[in-house]
Parts: sequence; structure tokens; C-alpha cells
Amino acid sequence: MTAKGSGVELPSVSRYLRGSLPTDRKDALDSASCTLTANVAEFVYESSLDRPTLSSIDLEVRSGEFVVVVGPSGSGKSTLALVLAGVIPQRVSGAHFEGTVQLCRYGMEPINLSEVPLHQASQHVGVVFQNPEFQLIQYQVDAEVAFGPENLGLPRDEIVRRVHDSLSLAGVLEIASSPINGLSGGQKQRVAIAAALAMKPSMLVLDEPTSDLDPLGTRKVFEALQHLCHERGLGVIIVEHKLDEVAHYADRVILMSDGRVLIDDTPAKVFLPTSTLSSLGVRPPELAKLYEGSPVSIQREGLALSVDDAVKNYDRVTFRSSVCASVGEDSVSAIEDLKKSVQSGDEAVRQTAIELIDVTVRFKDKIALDQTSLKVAEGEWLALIGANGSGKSTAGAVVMGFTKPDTGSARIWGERVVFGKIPLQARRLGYLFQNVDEMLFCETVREELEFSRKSGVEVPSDALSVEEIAEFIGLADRLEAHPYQLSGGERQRLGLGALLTRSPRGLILDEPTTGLDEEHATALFELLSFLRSSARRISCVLITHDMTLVSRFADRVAVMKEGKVVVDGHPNKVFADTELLRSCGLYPPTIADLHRELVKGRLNEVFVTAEEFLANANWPIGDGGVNVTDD
Amino acid sequence: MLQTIDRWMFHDIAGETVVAYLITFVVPLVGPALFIRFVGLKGLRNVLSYEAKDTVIHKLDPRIKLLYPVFIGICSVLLSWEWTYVLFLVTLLPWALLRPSSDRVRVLAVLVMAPALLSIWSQGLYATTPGDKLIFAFPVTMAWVGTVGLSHAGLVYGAHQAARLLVTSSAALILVFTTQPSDVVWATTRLFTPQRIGLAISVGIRFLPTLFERLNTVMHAAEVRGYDFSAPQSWWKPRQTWDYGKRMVRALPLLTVPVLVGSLRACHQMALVADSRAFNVTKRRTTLRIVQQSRADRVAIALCGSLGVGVLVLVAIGQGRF
Repeated sequence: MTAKGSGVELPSVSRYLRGSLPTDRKDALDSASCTLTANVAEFVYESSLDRPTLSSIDLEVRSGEFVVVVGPSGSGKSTLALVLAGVIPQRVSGAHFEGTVQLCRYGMEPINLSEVPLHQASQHVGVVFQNPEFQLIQYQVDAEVAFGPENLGLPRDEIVRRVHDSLSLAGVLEIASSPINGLSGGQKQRVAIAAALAMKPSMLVLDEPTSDLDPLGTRKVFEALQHLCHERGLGVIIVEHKLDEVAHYADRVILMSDGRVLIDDTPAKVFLPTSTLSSLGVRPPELAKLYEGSPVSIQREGLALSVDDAVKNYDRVTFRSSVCASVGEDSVSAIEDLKKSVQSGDEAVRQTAIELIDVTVRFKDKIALDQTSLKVAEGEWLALIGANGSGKSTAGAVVMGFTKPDTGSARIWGERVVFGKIPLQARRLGYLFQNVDEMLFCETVREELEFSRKSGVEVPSDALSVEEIAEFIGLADRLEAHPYQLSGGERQRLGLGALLTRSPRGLILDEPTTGLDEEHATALFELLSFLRSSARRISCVLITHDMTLVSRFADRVAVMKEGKVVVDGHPNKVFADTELLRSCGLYPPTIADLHRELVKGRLNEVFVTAEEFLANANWPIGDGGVNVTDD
Repeated sequence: MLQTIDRWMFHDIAGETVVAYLITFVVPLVGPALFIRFVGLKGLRNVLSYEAKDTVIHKLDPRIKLLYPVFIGICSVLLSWEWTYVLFLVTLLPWALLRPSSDRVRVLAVLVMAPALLSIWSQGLYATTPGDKLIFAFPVTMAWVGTVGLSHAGLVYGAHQAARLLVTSSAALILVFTTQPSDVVWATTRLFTPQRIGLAISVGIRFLPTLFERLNTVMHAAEVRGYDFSAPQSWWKPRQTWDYGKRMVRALPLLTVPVLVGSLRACHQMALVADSRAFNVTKRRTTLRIVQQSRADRVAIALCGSLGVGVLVLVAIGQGRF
């Protein structure tokens, strides 16, 4: 079906758009009038000839639309993004591409992005990749944004105008003359967005642009994109795992599986029932899970995807006082648990496993750690959270001996950490790097697991064998595979397995779930659960932005800000202090935020998962509603 | 006592062999040892970075600073080695204006002096001709080294070369310390180089620190898995030293693979980004940056011009190399 406009045949207006957008935005779109249409019968990479990465794609995105693409790893999301941006087939040809991607405007000939050179395509559809580090070429912000217009040979006045406008739109004008190396991850990603905008595209395609960003950086990127979309009429297509954060910005969600579009509809229709997402290995938004478990009277209000909207729907919900009290009184925090264990004479628990004592670390003029003290008991799991640059990773680096403190000291199991003597610390403590590829050296999974033994490293007598570890991490059938042939989640588990070959008494996990989809994250969670419940009582420090990970595994949360620990307590308590978290550049998990809003901050503990919320809610009776939780 | 030492060291084949070994192997270790002790990987990363200060040298047109080492290098080739040392003193004048931090001076001294010493040593041993006066003649046990000994003429020739090395290093480091990488890139692209070379320089400057950081992380990752890079406590124990050498050699491919894979991935993505930003699609590339020449620039050009004239006069009166 096509629509006529100014004598040019145009594809039909998105069937979702008209029903889902407010009237004022519909009017804006009529004047913006630009449509990206993708009809891709098949695309096959040379490395996977046996099955197409994309097939039977039939999509339409209009300017002013905010489209989120979701799906499990390997479903073809990133490939779709490259196709929409014209990178495929012009720059990455693959083995076989059949189809067209067209950009249509009123009054202009359609442009076939599959056939024009990439530099021409990028003036219509801009592309932003996952890692900002590798897409910023220049040394300084303004030079980076000017790079594209300079290459086009535009007059200087036009370059100045574009640089200014792009930086303003991306919200980074104030750092125009800053060197890129000194920027935070969120700032770098917004500079990358500005650089793409300087090419004056009508559409912007982003492939997981927030995967390395902290919650504040993530939110700022989404807000910048929403502003571009709604105020400037730019079409935004974003591939994203963080559904809790991005869901309420979306006008439309595309769910992909096995290279095909499974559902292309409004967020409510894609997220519900949540079993569809879960069965594909995609983590559904917590608010969708909450909605699904809510009674009909609540469901009648519709699915709310932001906390502000959810508060209106759930404002009549009360919580059983006994249950609320139980969270505060009966649910014993890990610290209290540890204290009790100490009192009962449990030697294994009594010992302090990891300790920072008044540690200060300076990097040139910046203080990374400021007289920080922290203790992790034997068997305890501590989550270190905070904005990028708050000192979390530096704390881990001091404990491992990577970084020498200017003052203070670190101890592990009572022994002083010696700077630079990392193998000494590694006898007891394993460190899983954020980028696990940096710790894989060998040609097969087996060799990776045998690395320590074969390198002449002393391995405890009670250490598990290679086969046992491979079984444990779910790679028993991949022992002869090259590590780079494994998926990201499998490599993450291999990295963890490689550390476990030395039977460490403790682990430091630096952002272990970054970039993992639900399926791989769940596999990692199961592995961690087993470790946690094992008889060895492994201690663990989780350095993370993943609040799901924190809520599931942390006995204690330490929130860091500007090199200091500002809060240290049980997750349910820490997440109740929204103002403090926000002042640290963090946001509580969605459900914690909702619970706190509903009780108007009267509680000092909150529920952090939809399951906790549902189990403790007293639903309003009437209007067909039922109290689902009353026994 | 002294006579005994003298007899043993200079008239006994065993003693002469020991001294020859020391000359051959200890001296070349001084450079790396100084580098590791006073610079290290982190120091090298820092020395390649710009140091912000408010000095007249910092404010000069980056094109002048880019051409300065080239100009000084040409002068050093034209002058005799005695005058090249005078030129070296001249190149220290901008440093006096800069007053770099003590950390920088330490790193600078090692980076400049270590190669100069190595140059003098290597030429002392190997730039020998029949009939040269030998300061120390190697015994027959050292014949396999391929030199007859440490020669006076070789050391002098090494000093000539060291002079040119010192002059060029001193001038080039002025550029590195006082010019923002973005300015170096701008100057490179505005002077004479094609766009591709300009981009390569830009990417190199931007990613060199990242490369060092990645190498550092990969070494840490290997250490976390038990691999030991630390030097043996007792160098004189052959087993420990042998094991250390073996570990170092084995580590090379281990460290190279992750660093290389990461760098190739980064390069691939950057190439995509550069293409999507229309890189190299027009020969008439315009620029955001405009540099106005100041009085300081004109003074700098005048001083360099005077220096050039001075060098030509010296060459004309027979004080040059040719």
C-alpha cells in the first residue's frame, strides 16, 4: 500500500504511528514528512553461510518516531541497524544481500541507501555505535563534531553553525573545547551523537549506545534522543537491552528473533505478555511484570512504563503493615546476619576477607579514592555502585594490587596487599575484568582452563579439574572451541571459569553483566548463585550498574561518590533513599522508585523487584478488582 | 694491590674476558635499566602527552613548532659535530622558557641521554678500522663478539652521532610537550600531508595512551591468572634468571593476541565511522580552526631564520660537515 504526496509515490504512513502519538506530534510529523523503508529479503554474513542473519524484514520508520529494537543476542538487531544506516551492503557486503532500504521525503526522489556510498547515506541516516571510545577520532570535542562537515568541504560558517547546533542538541555544548580523553562515558556517547548529527541526518540509528554507561549517563543519552525526536522531528531507531530505562521513551518496539521481526507494535503490545520476551531470552521491564501480576482494576488503567505514570495507577495500593515491618525488622540484613554468625562463634564468617583502610588514590589532580574504608566479611557479597568515575574500579584495583594507594592500605584475609605483586594476591582473590576478552589468551577453551597449571602456577590441591570447571560453566561440549568463537555470555563464563581453576576464596567482578542479554545474564546469575551457596563461602565484590544483579546477590550495597563511600547498607534500605542515590548520579531500580513514591518516602526500606511488590501489596477492592495477595 | 688488579684485569686472559663481558653487556643494559627505573610504561605514556602551561612557546603557531624539529635536524646534519653540540645548547633555550616539571625533566633526561650513551658505546665497539688506537683490546675469548675492542676513534664517532640525536630529540620533544595533539593534527593537515596521513597521525595520537592502557590491563589479567612478570630476587641464580627469561618470552604472544584483537576491532569500527563522516570524499577539505599569526610567531620565525643564516655562514667558512 502506498500514499501519494506531491506527485511522488510514498510508502504508507506507519500503521502504529497514528494511533500512538499525541495530536500535536502528528501535526509536526506531517510537516517533517520523511520515511525510512526497509524491505530486506535476506542478508547472509560470510562467516555464517548456513543461515541468514536477516530475513523477510519489512519495516517503516517515520521522522519523529522513537523506535526501540529488542531481542536476544544473535537475533540480528545490530545487523538490522547496520542495514538501516546503509553500512550493509555498502561497507560490509556479506555473502548475500537482497533488498532495499529507501528514504522518502515529500517532493523528492526516494534515496536508495543500499546503493549510495556510505558518506551519502550518513547524511540521511546517522549511525552511532556501542562503544564511544572507538568512534571518536579526533582529540578535541569540537574538532570531532567538525570532522564530518570538514570532510564535505563545507564553508567555515556552515561548519561553525553545524558544530554549535549539534553540540546543543546533544546537550554537550559546554564541553566543546574539552579533550575527549578526559570525558565520561556518557559525555563521549553524546559527543558521538553530536558528530553524527553534524552530518544533518533525518534519522539516527544507535546500536546499544548506553551499554557502558552509568544510570545517569544512560538517562541523559535517552533524554537527548527524546528531545531530538520529539522537538526536532528526528527519527530514532535504537537497539537496546536496558528495557526498564528506555521503555517509556519508546513510541514503538520491534521484537526480533532469528533474524526476523517477530512483533512490531506499541510497547504495551510487545511487552505483554512478558512470557513472550522471557521465552526469547529478553528481560521484560519490571513495570510490565508488575502490571501482569496486578488485578484487573489496575490493569484497566493500562500499562505504565514510567514511574510517574505507574504512581497514578497504583496510588490506591496499600502494603500489609506486617509485611512492611517485616522488611524492616524481620528481614535480617547481611551485616546483621554476619554479626549473629560472629556471636555464635562461626569462625568462617568472623574473618574479614577484604579490607580497605583509609585509602587515598590521586590521579594527577583528581582524587579517585578519598580516605576510603571498606570491609567485606568472609562469605559476604558486597555490591559497589556509583556513577562512572566515582572510584568503584579504583577500589577494586587497590585490593588487587593494580594501583598503589597514596595513603592507607588494603588487606586480604589479614595480609597486606602488595602493590604490583598481583600473582600474590591472585592466590586468594580472582578478578573478572569488565572486558573479558582482555583476559583470554589461548587457542581453545581447554587451554584457557589449563592456563594456570601450564604456566607453572601453584594450584591448590582441592581445585576442580578442567572438566569439572567446564561442566560447571556450561562449556563442557565446547572445550576444543576457540574462545573468540563463543558468544559474549559464554566468554564471560569462561573468564569466570578460568579464575575458578585456582579455587579463589574471593572474587571481584567488574561489570559482569554488561552487554549480556537475559539468557546469558541468567546463566551467569545461576553460576553466581551456585558459587554463593557453595560450601566454600566465597566472598565477592560486585562492581556494577546492574541493579537487578545487586538486588539478587548483594548482601550489602556500598554507594560511592567522588571517591568516598556515602552509604553502606542492605539493598532494600539503600534503594529507599532516592534523593541520595540521585545525588550520586544513580537511580534506584524502577520498582524501588515506585514503592518509595507510593509510600511517600515514609519507609526506610523498599521492595526492589516486581515479585516482592506483588507479594506484599494489598490491592484495592471494587471495580472488579481482587485482592490477589490476601491469603 | 692495585698492581695485582691491573695485572689481572689487563694482562690476564680471564680478567680481560670479564672486563670485556662487562663492557659488552652491562653498558647496553644501562639504557633499558634507566628507562625502567625512571620512565617505565606509564612514564612513556606521560611523556607523549601535552603539558598545559601558559608560556610563549605554548602559544606559538603549531605549524612553526611542527617545522622546528625538521629545521633543527637539517642544521645538525650540515654542521660539524662540535658545532652540533653548540646547536644542542641553543635548543635548550626554549626549555628554559618552558620550565618543565621535575618529573618531565627526569623523563626527558633519560629519553634523550640513554640513546645518546648507547650510540657512543655501540660506535666505540663497532666503528673501528685497522690501526685505530684501542682503549681496551678484547682477548681472543671474545672474538665471537665481532670486534677487536673499544676504540677511541669509534667513541668519537659515536659522540658525533649522539650530538645529532640530542639536538633532534630536544627539538622534537618541544613540539610534543607544548602542542595539543589536536593542534599537531591540524598543523599536519594544513602543511603538506595528504588527508590519510593526517588521519593516521590523529588516530595515533588519540589512541596511543589507550594502547598503553590496554597493554597494562592485559598484563594485569595475565597476572591475575597467576602469570608472574616480576623480576627474580637473585639475578645471580641461573635457574631463576632462566625461568624469568622464559616467562618473558612466553608472555609475548600471550599479550599480543588480546591487544592486537582489540586494536583491530577498534580500527575496523573507526574506519566505518570515518567513512560515514565522508572522510576523503573531497580534495578541498575545509577546516573549523583558524590560526592567526601573532608577534611571537613572527619573532620565532625571525630567530629560526637567523639561526639558519648562522649555520650557512659556518658551513661557508668551513665549519660545516661538508
